[in-house]
Amino acid sequence: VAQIRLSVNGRSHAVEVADPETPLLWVLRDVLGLTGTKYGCGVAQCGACTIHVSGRAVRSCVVAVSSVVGQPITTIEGLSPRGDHPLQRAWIAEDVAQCGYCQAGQIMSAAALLAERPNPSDEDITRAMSRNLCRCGTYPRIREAIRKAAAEGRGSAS
Amino acid sequence: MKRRRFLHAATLAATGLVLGFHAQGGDVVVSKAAADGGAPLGDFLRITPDGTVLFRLVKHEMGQGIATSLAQIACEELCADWTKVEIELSDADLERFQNAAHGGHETGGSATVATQYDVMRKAGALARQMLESAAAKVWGVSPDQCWAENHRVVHRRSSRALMFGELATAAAQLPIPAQVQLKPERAFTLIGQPKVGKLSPAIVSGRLKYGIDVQLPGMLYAVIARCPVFEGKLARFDAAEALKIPGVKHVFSTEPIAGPRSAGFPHDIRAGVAVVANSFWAAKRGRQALKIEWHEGPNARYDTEHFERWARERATRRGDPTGYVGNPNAIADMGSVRKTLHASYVYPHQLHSCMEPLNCTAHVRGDDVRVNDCEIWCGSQAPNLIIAEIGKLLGLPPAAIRVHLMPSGGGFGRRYYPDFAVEAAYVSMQAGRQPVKMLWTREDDPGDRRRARLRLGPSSLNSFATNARSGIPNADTSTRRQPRGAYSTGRDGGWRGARRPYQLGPLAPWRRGAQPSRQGRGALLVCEGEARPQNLLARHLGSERTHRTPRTRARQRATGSGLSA
Repeated sequence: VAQIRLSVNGRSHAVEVADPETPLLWVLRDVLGLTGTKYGCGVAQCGACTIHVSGRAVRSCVVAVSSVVGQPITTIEGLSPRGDHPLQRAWIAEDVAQCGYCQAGQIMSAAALLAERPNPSDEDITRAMSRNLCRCGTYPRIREAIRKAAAEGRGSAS
Repeated sequence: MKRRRFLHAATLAATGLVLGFHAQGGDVVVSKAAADGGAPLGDFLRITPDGTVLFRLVKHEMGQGIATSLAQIACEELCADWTKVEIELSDADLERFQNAAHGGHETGGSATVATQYDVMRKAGALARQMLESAAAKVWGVSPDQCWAENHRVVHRRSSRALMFGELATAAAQLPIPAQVQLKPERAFTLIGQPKVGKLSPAIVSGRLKYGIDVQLPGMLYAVIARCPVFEGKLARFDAAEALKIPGVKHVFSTEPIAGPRSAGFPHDIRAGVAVVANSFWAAKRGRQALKIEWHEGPNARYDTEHFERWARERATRRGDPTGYVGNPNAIADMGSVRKTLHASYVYPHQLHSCMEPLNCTAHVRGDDVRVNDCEIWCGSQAPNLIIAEIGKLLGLPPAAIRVHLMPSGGGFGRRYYPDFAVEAAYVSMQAGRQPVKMLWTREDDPGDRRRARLRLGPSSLNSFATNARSGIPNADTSTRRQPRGAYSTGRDGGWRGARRPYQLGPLAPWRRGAQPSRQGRGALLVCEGEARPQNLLARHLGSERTHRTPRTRARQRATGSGLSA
C-alpha cells in the first residue's frame, strides 16, 4: 500500500492506494468522492474523464496516480468556486446538456483551450474538442457555448 | 444561488423517499431526507413555507429533459413562478405511482411528455385548486372568487393576496378536489416555452449524481467476466491468481442467475464470474487474472452471415394481422390489388453504448440464513421490472425492495432491462450482504473483442429484418386527405410505437415477419422498416410522402401505459 500526496482543487490530500498504477480517475471518484469526473471508456478515447493537471487537459482514466504527485490537479468541482466559470455560465445559457454525462469532460477540455487561447478560432475549437464524445450529440451547442464564453472574456478584458 | 437551491431542495424533501445531493465530495451522497419537507399537494408537488415548489420526478431522466418538461407542464397549471421550482428525484413507489392515474415509472418509447401530459396538468391543477380553497378559507370568501397567478392566490375584489408558501400548509390539509379545473390552453405561459434544463446547474458543476456516482459506507466494487457468447455457459474457472491481487475479496460464479428471464419483458443474463474487491481497479485487475473456460453453446459459431440468413427467412413468414390501423381485413384485400411492391430490409445488431456504462449499486441485507431486504441505486427505465426480478431472486415482497431512481447518462432502451440490477443484487448477496457497486466496463458493452460482431446479448439493440409487400388497390376510393396505403403487422416483432404516427387509409396490406434481437424490441428500426415501405408506397401513389397526423391521446390511452422501450 502506497501513501500518495495529491493536490486537488487547491487542497492537499494523503491517499492510500494498493496499486500506484491505479488511474487517477478512480482515486478522484472513489477515494476523494469527486464524482463529477466521469468514467466513459477507460482508454482515453471518449474524454468524459478530462481534468487539468498543471493546467493541461488530461484523460484521468489513463494517468497513473503516482505520476501526478505534487502537481496541481483541477476537476470540474474545482473549476470555479460556485460553478460560475464563464464556460459553466455559457453552458447553462445555451442549455448545452442533455444527459450531461460527458459535459464535465467537455467543459474541462474547453477551459484548457480558453486558458491557452482566449480567442479561439473555430478551427481551434474543433481541434481542442474533437476528442470529447457526446452520445447525445450536443456538439453544436458546445461550440456555441465556447464562443459565448470567449466573447464574454473579450468583453471583460476591454 | 440556483444551484444551491437545487441541492437544498433535494435534501428538504420528506417521507424519506428523496435523494439528497451533498455538495461536498467524500460524503455519503445518498441520504434519507429529513422529515421537514414542505406540504404535499397531491403526489407530485410539494410547497415549502418559503414558497419553493418541489416537483417529484418519478420517470427516468436520461437526457430527454423530462425532469424539466414534466415540471413545466405541472407548474403551468399550478400557476407557479418557474424560478421557484425545483426537481426532486424519487424512489420507486409502485403502490403510489405504478398505475394508470399516475402513469407508472416506466420511461421509454420517446413518449413520456405525450403520455404524462394529462397526468401532469391534472396534478398541477388540483394543487392550484387546493391553494385557492385554502385562501378562500382564510378570507372567508367563496373559492371561485380566488385566483392563482404567479405563485400567489389573489382576491381581486378586496385586493388581497397570499403567497403559495403562506398557503401550502393549510392547503395540504384539504381533501384532493374531486373535480379538476384545467386552464384553457390559450392562457398558457409556461407550456411551449423553451426553458433551460433544471438540472443544468448541477450538471455543469459536476454535482448531479448519476447511478455510477453512488457511494455508500463500506461499499465494495464488482466487475463480472461474462461469457462472450449468448446462451453460453461457464465450464470452470480458476480464481487463484485473481485472489492474489491486493484488494480482491471474493470471486464466485454468477451461473445461478444466468439464463432467460421474463417479467413481462424477456431478457437474459449471461453466465459469468464475479470479482468483488475494495476498489474498482482491484476488481478489474482481478478479473484480468481469472482463468475461465466457457461452454460456448448453440451460438458458438453464430455470426453476421448466420443472422442475416435467418432474418431473411424469418421475414418471409406472414405475421398475423393486428387490425391496428386501417382495415383489419387488409390481408384479405391483397387479393384485389392491381400492383404489388416488394421491399426487404435487414439491419445488423447495434449497440446502445450508453455514455454512462451500465452499473448498479445494491445492498442486500440479512444474515447467513435469510435475506431481509434489498436496496438498489441505479438509473432505470423500468424499476418495476427490477423489483419483480429481484423479488423472485431473493424471495422478497415488493415492499422489501427499495429502488432509488437516479438519473443516467443515456438509456436508449438498454436501461429498461433489469439484468444489471439482478446481477448487482446477486453479487451483494454472495459477497456477504455488503453494499456493492457493480460496474460494466466499456469493453463489457460490445462484449469480448474476439466476438464483438457475434453479439446476441443484452446489449445488442436492434437487429431486424422485414419484408414488406404493399398492394396498390384497383380502385381509387380514397380522398386526397386520406392517402392510401395500409399495413398490418405481425405480432411477432410488431411494436406499437412504430405504428403510432401514421394515419392510414383502408387499403392493401404489407406483411412481414420480423425478429428483433432477443434483448431489444428494435423500436427504431421497426419504425424505419415500416416507414420506408409506406414512403415507397406513397411515391407510387404519386403523393410526396405519407400523411402524418399528430399522435392522438385517445389512441395512446387505448394502447395503455405498457412497455414501449
